[in-house]
Amino acid sequence: MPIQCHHCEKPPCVNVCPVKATWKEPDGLVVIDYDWCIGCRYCEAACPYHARRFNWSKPQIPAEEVNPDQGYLSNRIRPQSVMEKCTFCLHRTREGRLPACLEACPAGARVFGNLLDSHSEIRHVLAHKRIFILKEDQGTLPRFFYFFAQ
Amino acid sequence: MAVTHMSDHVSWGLYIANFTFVVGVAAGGVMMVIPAYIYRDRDMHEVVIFGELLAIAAIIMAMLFVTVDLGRPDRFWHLIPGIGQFNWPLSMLSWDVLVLNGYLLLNLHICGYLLYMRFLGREPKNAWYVPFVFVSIVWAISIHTVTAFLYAGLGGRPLWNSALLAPRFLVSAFIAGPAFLIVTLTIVGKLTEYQIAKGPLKTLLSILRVTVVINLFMVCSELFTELYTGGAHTASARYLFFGLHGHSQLVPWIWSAIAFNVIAAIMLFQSRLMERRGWLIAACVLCFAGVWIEKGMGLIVPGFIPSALHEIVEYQPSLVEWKITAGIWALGFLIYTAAIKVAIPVLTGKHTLKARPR
Repeated sequence: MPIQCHHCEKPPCVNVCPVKATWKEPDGLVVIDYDWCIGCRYCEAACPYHARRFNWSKPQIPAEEVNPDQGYLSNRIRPQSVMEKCTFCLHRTREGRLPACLEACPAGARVFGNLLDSHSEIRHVLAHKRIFILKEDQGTLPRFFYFFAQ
Repeated sequence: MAVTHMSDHVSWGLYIANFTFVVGVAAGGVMMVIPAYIYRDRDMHEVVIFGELLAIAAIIMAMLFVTVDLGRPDRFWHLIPGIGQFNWPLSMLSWDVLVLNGYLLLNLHICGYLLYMRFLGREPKNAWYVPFVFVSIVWAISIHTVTAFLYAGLGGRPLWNSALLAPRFLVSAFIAGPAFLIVTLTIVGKLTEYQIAKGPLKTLLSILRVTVVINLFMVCSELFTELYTGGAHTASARYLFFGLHGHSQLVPWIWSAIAFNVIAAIMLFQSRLMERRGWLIAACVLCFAGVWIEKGMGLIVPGFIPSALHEIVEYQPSLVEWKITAGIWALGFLIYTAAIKVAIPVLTGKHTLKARPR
């Protein structure tokens, strides 16, 4: 089963960070400031979805594969010894494009959209499909849902 | 961090395990302060400084264990209120920074003031230290409570998410601290000219007898709740004590801790045996080691196994981790022995302003 950051309404990872290096953006995305993170990994222990990862060693990316167009909170080369996580490709989604995982998925199994827009595809899915929330009992109010296509 | 054996599955290991344990040792020193100041035990009052010096050394060790665990220790200043961004009161780690530093300052002040007054040959003024001593008693409880809340507050880690964790931390701290102090006082009494009365040793032994039994009771209580209920939330406890799906690295480890604690408990209640120095020290070493395992690797590592997504990835510290841990322990011993080396001549009146050693 695929899993990623659930961008929770009540993110436990944000509460535990001792230096406010991670927070929820006004549009609901949970982000990390890689230049401020001290690498204590408390958020990694707090996340019930194993969505946060630590950069144990120095990321190696061949020079020709490096995207020169990088955002501060999103698609940048992660520095060593800090946390990282999914940002719902905010450098793309805030420009109206889809996250990279949606474009890559050959089955079209993923839906992304604005929960506040009642005409969006994601609202249609939530209203008409069988939905389940992983570890709903944690009370973190994820903004990531699993649905049954049938 | 790349040379440790920690992973995204077991993201805290030997360092944080030792951190948790030494915070307990620091808090355990208070078991000398309470008899000395609240029950006005005169003999204990004479030796209480060994407990306070222990707290200083242990807190410095605790801070070092956190520092070596940080990915970016050079950014520790982000934690300093004022310059950095301090997530207080929301993050338990920010509380921990406050209470540990506060406890260090309190003990530095109390020890420093009392020793300096002795050195000057003056009577210490109560107003300058007694209020701090009483604050430090409550503070000692707080450092270990906050450290327990750091784990207990994580809903995604069922092994830690228990209301019993903080009481267990405190009671096992009151094993590790007094056990260490009994050994220290015995060694000081034997190797130095400083006379250690029988009273304080007896008091510490009485405390140890109670805490060892309460600790075992709490472990049983926790185990019963986990094992009798069953279910996915109890997987970590089953992994720790019996192994899970063929993975059982921690099983011999935790059962040796239980064995150490049980044997120590039986030994501690043999009054005749405990009058013999060697047996007393053996019992203390056993329960110290037992708690070190139980509250260290026996608590931190299984919290991550199975992971939040129920994958099993085991962890064994790398050689580098063991070496760095040994280094911090060595430094802690160095600080403690050096502090005692300074304190004893002052306490015995050999090194004072008037009578300087030649």
